[in-house]
Amino acid sequence: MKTSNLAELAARTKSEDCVSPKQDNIHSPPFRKGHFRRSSYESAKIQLDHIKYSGRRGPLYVGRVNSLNSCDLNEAARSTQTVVTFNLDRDRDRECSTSFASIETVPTMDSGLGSVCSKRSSLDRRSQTSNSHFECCSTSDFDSHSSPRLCDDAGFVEEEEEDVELHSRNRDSKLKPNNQQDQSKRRIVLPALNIAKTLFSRNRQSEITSKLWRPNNRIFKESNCISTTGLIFENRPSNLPAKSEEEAAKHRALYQELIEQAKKKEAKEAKEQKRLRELQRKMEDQVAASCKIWVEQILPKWAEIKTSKKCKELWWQGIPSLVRGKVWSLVIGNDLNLTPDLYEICCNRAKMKLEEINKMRAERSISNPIGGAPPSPTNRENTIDSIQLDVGRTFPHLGIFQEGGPYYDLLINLLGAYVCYRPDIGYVQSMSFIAAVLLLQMDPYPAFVAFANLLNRPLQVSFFRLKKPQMTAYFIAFDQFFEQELPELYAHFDAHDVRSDIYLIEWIYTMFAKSLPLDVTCRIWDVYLRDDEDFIFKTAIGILRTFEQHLLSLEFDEIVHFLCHIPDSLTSVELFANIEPLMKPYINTGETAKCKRSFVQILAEVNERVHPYHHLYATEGISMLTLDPNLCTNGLSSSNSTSSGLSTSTHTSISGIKISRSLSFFLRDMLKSPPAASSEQSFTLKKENGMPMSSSSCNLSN
Amino acid sequence: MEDYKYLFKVVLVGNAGVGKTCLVRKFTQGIFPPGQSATIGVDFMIKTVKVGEDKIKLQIWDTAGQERFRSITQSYYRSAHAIVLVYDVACQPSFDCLPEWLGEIEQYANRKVLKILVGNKVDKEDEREVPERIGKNFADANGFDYFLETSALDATNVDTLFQEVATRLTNDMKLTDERFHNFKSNENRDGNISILDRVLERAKCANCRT
Repeated sequence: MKTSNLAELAARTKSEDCVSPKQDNIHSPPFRKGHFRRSSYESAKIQLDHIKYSGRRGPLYVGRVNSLNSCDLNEAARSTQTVVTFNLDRDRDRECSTSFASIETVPTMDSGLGSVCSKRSSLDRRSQTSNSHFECCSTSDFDSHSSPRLCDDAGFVEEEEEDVELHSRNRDSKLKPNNQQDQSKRRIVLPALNIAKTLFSRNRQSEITSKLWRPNNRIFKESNCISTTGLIFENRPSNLPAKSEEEAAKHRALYQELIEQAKKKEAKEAKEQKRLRELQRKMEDQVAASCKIWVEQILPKWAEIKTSKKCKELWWQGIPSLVRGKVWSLVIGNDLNLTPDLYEICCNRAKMKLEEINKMRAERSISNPIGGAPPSPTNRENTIDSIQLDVGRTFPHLGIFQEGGPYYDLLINLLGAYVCYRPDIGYVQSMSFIAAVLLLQMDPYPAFVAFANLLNRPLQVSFFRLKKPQMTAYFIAFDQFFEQELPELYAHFDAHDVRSDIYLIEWIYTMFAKSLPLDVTCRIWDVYLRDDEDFIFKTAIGILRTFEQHLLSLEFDEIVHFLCHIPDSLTSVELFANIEPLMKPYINTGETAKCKRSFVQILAEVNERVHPYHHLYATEGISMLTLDPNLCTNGLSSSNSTSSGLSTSTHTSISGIKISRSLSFFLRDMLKSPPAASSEQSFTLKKENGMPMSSSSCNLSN
Repeated sequence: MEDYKYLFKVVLVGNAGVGKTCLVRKFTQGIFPPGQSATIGVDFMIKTVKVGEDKIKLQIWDTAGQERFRSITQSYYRSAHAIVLVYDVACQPSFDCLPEWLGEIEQYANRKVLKILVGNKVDKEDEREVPERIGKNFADANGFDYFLETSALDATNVDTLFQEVATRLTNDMKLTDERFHNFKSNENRDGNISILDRVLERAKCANCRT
């Protein structure tokens, strides 16, 4: 009767305090699912033990425990049994009454090889009391044992039920007296035992059994002195001879060294991380501070403060992205007096147009093709068609302008509205990049206003409306500016026939949005909006200056390839450091002929020479700016005569316009000057050694 | 210093979005970039191929397709050895524009430039709008030297295309070099040469490709 009560109690307290998922494993076979994997060495050992002891009964086990306690641990290790070690908290041992502690520990002396819980549950169900077993198991030896470590057989898990039975009997019998004394307070908790699964465990540290038993009001806190490494008191398999002192010491030293190194490395990494975090925080603080200044001090008094020196300085540092859109809107302004209504109308018209085109396309693909009418020069509304194509190809790496992305419709609307607003310009590839950058900073309507007004600036008008004389002036001005600022690189480029238009076209059309990382682009736009178009060209020089040494070592192919694909690693800090020298005001003493001119000055001079004949381009359309490549090294002959032959002698007065030879080819082509027989380019490509390499039959035909 | 026997300049033209850049990327870098930005102005790539024993360097100029950029891109035609005109087999308008492009080529490129017509995106077989036969007929009727259908997506004929360009240019070049040497040696032997001979020689030369 008592025993069954006890068993019930045990089972109850068990379910309260212990994690005991498996319940019905009393008759489970020794190897169950969920067994830990063993090394072949362990398995062999276990089997051996199993064979040895399979015939024996409980008392044997107890005897073994006792022998373990009494004998030297090393002896135990050298015995035929595989030894499992675990730590018992020393204090707990002492706290426990002599017999009690030992008995509480016995059931949990699980080898860790089998499932502990199932065994425990089976223990709890057992209600047999066996005094003989209790006697056998009387563990005064345990208590008196100096070492907190107890050994058990790894083969324990393999043992027959009888062994398990033994434990439960032991425990129950032990509980009995306590139960009589104070039943209400009795709780049985598995003691905290961290048990190494196997002695020489490999990768099995994760599965440590740790349970808490609180026998009879005594609370045993989970021991924290136990670690898997601490549990291994044998540093080599038991069947090998022990290490010599010397060797052991050496190994200890090596181990210490390893630990030291790891610690040092860790410390170093932590320090580096801390440094980076500091840096990051510092930058964030800086941004936050400047953000505050922008919001609280600059924006409220924008009109007065925008030209102040302090504001300009702060501006140079970059506008915080929080206020960037706002500032850009303010700076770009709305000279075109666009209204939300107009935007709405344009948007709607664009949508209609787009639907119309899509419908037409669908119809055409059904009925047979009817060649597309070429766009008339005054109405380029049909270019709306290619917007759809290009929007998906805008900043593909961001993945937000693609179909289904959050900005897809916004970008289509903005560009479509612009095409309807300015059908004479229509959509020009690269507009999608500019519009996308603006959309990233502001709402759709302000972005449209900024876009339309931005494209109304002289530089953009020249390029997007393809005003060739103005474009020519910009190219020539850049050419001169380049020569002035980076003469060495300029000469190198000229020698290799690297024309500035190859890279400059993309840079100007997209305002670097396609060529440089987005954050760098935004910083450039910040200052571009502060300083106007000359900053675009200064940036171009800045890029060339940043990579000057590298570019000087390259040949034509590599130079062009490099400039068409600027590395993404370019940072704004690096770039702006290279632009900064160009930002200083030029002091024109007028004494030396070599005094530097600003880009604006150069452009003004070039314009003066190019533009008097502007009306002639408009009427005749061709050839007023005749560029003879043979003369270009001395000077550009801009002539009012259509004959290139005459220009040499009659127009030396304007030979001040110097451009590189290679660029002159481009400009001539662009201006559609009919190729004069005398200046027909020889179709010869030179190899590096200077040997002419005939590459086409053209040589012969001339 | 790279050593190569010949250097050829190949220019790709054609409507926007027909896949010029993807063709070039596939050929030069072996990748099909899923998100490719529109080309503004011109893009530039280099690749060295082998024709027989000779190393041939191809300078590939990939131009912007939009009509607006034509006056800029046409300056790249001038010194081109080969012009690859690309259309999209799944886009009829890109095929309809071919005569315009031909006009550009005839106006700005060298007379003897190698002209190749390429129908790209054959992987879109379901959406095909231009049958291969139509493309072939157009190429034959307009004096193209070579016609090929490609796909940058699944690499169909991409290498073949550029290999063919390199081979043909190399062969032409060798022929020209030979003729040039013969011509020179003739000149040296005879000491003088009649203008008629010169004209005949040139005419032969002009006909040799077409």
